[in-house]
Amino acid sequence: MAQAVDTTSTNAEMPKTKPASPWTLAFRQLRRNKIAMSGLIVIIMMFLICFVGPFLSPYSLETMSGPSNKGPSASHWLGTDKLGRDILLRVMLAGRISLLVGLVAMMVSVAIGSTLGALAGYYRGWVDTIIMRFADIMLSIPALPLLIILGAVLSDIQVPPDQRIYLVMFLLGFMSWPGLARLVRGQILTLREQEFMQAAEVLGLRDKRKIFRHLIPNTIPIIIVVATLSVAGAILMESVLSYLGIGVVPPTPSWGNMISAANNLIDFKKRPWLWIPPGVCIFMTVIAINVIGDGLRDALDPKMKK
Amino acid sequence: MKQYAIRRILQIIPTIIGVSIVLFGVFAMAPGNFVDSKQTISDARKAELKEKFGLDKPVHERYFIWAKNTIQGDLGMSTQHQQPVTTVMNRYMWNSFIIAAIVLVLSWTIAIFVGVYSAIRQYSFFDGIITFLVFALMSLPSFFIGLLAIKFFAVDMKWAPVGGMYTTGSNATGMAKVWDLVQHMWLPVSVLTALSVGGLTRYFRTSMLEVVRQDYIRTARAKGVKPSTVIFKHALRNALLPAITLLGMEIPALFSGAMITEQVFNWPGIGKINLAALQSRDYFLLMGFTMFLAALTLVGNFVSDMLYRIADPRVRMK
Repeated sequence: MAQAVDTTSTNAEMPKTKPASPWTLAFRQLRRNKIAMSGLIVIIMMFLICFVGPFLSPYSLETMSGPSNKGPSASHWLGTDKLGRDILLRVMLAGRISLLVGLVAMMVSVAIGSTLGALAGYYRGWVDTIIMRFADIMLSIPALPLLIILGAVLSDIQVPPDQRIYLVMFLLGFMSWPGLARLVRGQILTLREQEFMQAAEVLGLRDKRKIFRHLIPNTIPIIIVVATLSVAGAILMESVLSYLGIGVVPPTPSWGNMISAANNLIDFKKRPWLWIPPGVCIFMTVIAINVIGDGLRDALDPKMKK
Repeated sequence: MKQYAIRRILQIIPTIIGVSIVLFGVFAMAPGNFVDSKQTISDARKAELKEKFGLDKPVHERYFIWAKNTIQGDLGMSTQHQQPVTTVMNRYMWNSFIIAAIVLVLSWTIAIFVGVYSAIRQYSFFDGIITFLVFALMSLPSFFIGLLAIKFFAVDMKWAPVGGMYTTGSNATGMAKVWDLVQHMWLPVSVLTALSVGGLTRYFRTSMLEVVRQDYIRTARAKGVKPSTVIFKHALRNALLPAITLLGMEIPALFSGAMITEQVFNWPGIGKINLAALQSRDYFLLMGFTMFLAALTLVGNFVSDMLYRIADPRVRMK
């Protein structure tokens, strides 16, 4: 319904000014989507709190900042853990890791997925067969059990915790590229038959340029939507793995491994402030990203327009 | 139709071989195998055990031995349970199946009703709330909501036992046993239903919204068919059609168990057993289970494609 109003207003403006670019139109539409905008605000807040917040905290993780295992109070808003560390500070620092894992995993998945998808769609033939067969294989292996085996292997080869984060990011990204590759390939298959590609052919452009400058940019709307949603997926997956103790491992805090405090029966029953705040953070972040992704889909994907 | 089925089956074979290679590759990457990690046994015994499990051979030979056994239905011995992997899986799979089957029925029923109602009242207050709830449910981390549910309903309110399948030490039979089971089951079932109902509702809502816009619905309305008949007879039937595809994909979920939820609720299902296998590095069980899931996924995709073709002649034409 809202879209109908939009087309008339832009049509009226058209004779006078330069026609609005698809990006401007999409952005306008996104801005009117109240749910998506509130999601965006939540995400920005979350980033600000996690990345700036720790500087404002009077405590540090290196020293005891108060009595251990105390509930929320005026000096420790979310209480302290058994080592007397401030939970609020830990939640913020864990948030840095969890958000970063989500972002990097997304970038890995987008880089692999869009490149392989574009190559498969552009060259077709045996390149397509090999890439898409491999994507099919990856898609039919259930992600969680495979990640669990990989996580176990990581623990067995004793990767140091600080390097482990990067491996986890990469693994999560690597698990989620096939879906995107499929979408990009489908788009490129139709795009490559269009007139502008004939023009590119006539101009004698090299394949690399055709793929990365002319084909992939045309698939960006769909990539953006999938990428946004995959950040949420990666954050959820990271939290599950870390909760099981095979994702990001202590001393590096992450929301998932903070919740594993709940595996201790006493902490679970008597000290909910240890594990509820990180859980709420995961939930809020993921829901915010999901609504943004959905809003972006409405704004960017013409096929979904109703 | 038959030709298509044969072609699809032939496609599955290279995929499953690929899956097995990927899985075996990961498996072979693990340096500390279960023999080397045991410090209590002598080197001679280690060598003997390695020979027994075929660990002394090069990787590609081990793969072919494993693949041959797998085709013959032998997934190896579970080192933790000291039983064949297939026996272990069969024992625990049905505990997962009970929960999954109930969750399937519940979540589909709820999702169809809510999704359809939400679609015919699009943009209403109800629809807004449902849309928000769907997002919330889809964003829930499964283990966290499980923990919250146990904390609130089992620990604080004492409405349910904290976990497990039967009360420990109880030897109740007949109805008493069933009642014990129900008491243990309702909380994990509710959590799992909540987790899966979100996506499904969204699916049915979208599907219904698409159908209501079709010309034949307008025709039905124009010729004066009762609104309820239009919705439930003309629209709903067509909206449910794509859901057949979804039903095929639910097959793996029926047997795979919900790893995280089972772990949190201490439910003796196959997912929990798999996680326990992770703790003890019981790689044969881990591999067998993951391989089994991948095969189920492929079968599920196949079944859903076939069902869709049987149900919708338009797909066949393409």
